[in-house]
Amino acid sequence: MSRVIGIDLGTTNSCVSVIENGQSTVIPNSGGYKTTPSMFGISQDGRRLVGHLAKRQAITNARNTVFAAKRLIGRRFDDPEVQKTIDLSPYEIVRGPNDDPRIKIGGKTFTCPEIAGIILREMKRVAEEYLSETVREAVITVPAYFNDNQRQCTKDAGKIAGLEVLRIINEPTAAALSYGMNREGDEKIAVYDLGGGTFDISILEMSDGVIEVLATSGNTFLGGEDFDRRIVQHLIEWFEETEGIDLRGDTMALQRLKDASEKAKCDLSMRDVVEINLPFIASDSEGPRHLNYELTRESLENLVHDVVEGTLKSVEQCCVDAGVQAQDIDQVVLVGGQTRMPLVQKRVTEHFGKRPHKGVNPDEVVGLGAAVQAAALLDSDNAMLLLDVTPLSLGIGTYGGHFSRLIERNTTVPVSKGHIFTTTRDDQSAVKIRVLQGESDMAAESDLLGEFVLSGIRPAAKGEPEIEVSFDIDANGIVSVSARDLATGKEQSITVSSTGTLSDTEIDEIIQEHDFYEVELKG
Amino acid sequence: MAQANEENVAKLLQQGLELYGTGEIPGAFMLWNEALELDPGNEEALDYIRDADRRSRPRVDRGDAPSASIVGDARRLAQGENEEAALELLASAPNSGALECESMIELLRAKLFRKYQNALGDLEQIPRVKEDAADLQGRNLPPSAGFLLSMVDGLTSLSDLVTVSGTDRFEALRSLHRMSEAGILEWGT
Repeated sequence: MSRVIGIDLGTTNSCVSVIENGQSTVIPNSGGYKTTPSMFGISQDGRRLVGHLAKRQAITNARNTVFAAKRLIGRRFDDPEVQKTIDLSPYEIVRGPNDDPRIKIGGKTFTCPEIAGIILREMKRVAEEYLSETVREAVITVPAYFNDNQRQCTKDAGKIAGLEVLRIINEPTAAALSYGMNREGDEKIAVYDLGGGTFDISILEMSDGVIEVLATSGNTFLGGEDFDRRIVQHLIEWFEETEGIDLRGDTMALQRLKDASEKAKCDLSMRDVVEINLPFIASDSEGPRHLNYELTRESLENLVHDVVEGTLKSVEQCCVDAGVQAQDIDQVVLVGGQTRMPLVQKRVTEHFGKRPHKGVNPDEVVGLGAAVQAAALLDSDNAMLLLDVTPLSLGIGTYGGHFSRLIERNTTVPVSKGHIFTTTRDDQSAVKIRVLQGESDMAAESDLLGEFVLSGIRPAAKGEPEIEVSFDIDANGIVSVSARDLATGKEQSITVSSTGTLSDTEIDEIIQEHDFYEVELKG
Repeated sequence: MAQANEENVAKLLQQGLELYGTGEIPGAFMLWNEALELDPGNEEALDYIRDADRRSRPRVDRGDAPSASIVGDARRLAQGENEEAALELLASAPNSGALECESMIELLRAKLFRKYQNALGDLEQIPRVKEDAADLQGRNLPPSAGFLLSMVDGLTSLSDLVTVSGTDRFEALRSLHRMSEAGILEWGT
């Protein structure tokens, strides 16, 4: 039996893990890195680049390098999050035929599941190289707030990568799992996840092996890269002041400044001062100019203090949403490389009045949790088997523009629920079932997941026909809906798929195309 | 690719260059395309076609031809196997965009391109920086070389460096070749 891998498909970096000899292990790529940038680019000479190599030319070849595509996956083109990404991204994002955002680079248009599939395929390759065996199955993590459509698209991405996705699990849940937290008694856990491009705070309640997400909050446009940008800005201003040269329009210089700033930031988590040396960063009539600068931890903290405070505002909001006080939290888990920063740890400790959990590398904690779940799926006797909950309420649109909930948020999955509805007009022969997700009572304020029509209802006065609408949510949070006229037995059903999800034919075509490029994928 | 085919492709590439050098641009395109038919995806042919295509687009002002003495000097340098100096002389000429000058520049670039490729050897080799940071800063390198140097990490191959160089293949190979000649970079056993 081949092994099941756990993949943390991150906005900025991804990580793959597996259980070996009973221990979860993060798999390093061929360069020795345990995380791989979630980046894909097409170079000027047409090479397809994934991971570190794509990152190294992300600024000098910005129009043809995709990053943070996770912000787009499973969303509609008009979604405010997509529109904001369009404003901030150097690469082109266009409207797809299903009203989904698509990414145009190197003269080709890619769907978002396709881009995620390219990253997942790279993670699969890293695992196969390490394990010396073919990998076919995976558990993939997604943010707790991902709706059904975003989860479906992530599954499609797995398929494109040649993986059967056995389970989609929530990132904070995976983080808690990697600490073996669901083995203990009832407790409340705060998962503070400050990644490269996003900040998520989740409050979980653990009880009898069920992990419930009480609330999530955060900022999908705040992360470690904001810290890097502050350093870059500081260095540009300093260099302009001392050398009289403005580096803002020089993409090579900006790429070097970004790389050096990220490295300096990481080093300052362990040291009080670092030297940033960028020889030949510019030149003028007097010859080459070098940038040599000493950055202290204190000056870095001054540069980013407000960003860290911004995350704590989201923490407060999350506590309010979850109906808990900061002191009610039993354990705090840190996720994401940026949480290594001493200032972040200090402020989180002060906020919750307790030290965060230590022991697992914050870059790897989600991927390791995914591996724990993957192993549990193979072992039915395993006590670690996870029961997750629905992140959002599900229901249908009803007369008057209302949203009738059939499954409340935080219901443990898998789950099936049904309800009897009826017609609103005499002799109504068909009903349109609009499947919605969200917390508002109004249909217009909820996410439309899909719709279908049940026809052939027997002629009757309004209110007489009985139409049973049933919802099924599987363990991945994927929704199926059916409607049945109890008088005639006529039935219609859908597995919800709307924006951005791909047909099997489309997926097969993409797989074939990527097989053609496979030899060019680089770590 | 069979050896006979390989020789034909090399011949077509060379003949194309000769034609390009004399200003017979459509003829050059024809020969390079023939080479591509024999060897689809041949990077050298694609490079020539891309470069020639870019340069053959109409410009607002082509300018007058540079003085005959500059072109003559460049020819003499090239005949003396000093293509680098010939290229620099032409590139810095007041009207380097003029057709005669540009064709010669292309010819020189193509010759140097192959020279650099041969000198660098297998592009899958991993380069290392030979000098420490303090010594390096005493040298006179352009920012594009500094950029390439910053990517040398003991893991990235020459081929990958060319890809992420932010310049065209010719400039990247030239920069790597110069740094190798100057003893800044080394690779191999």
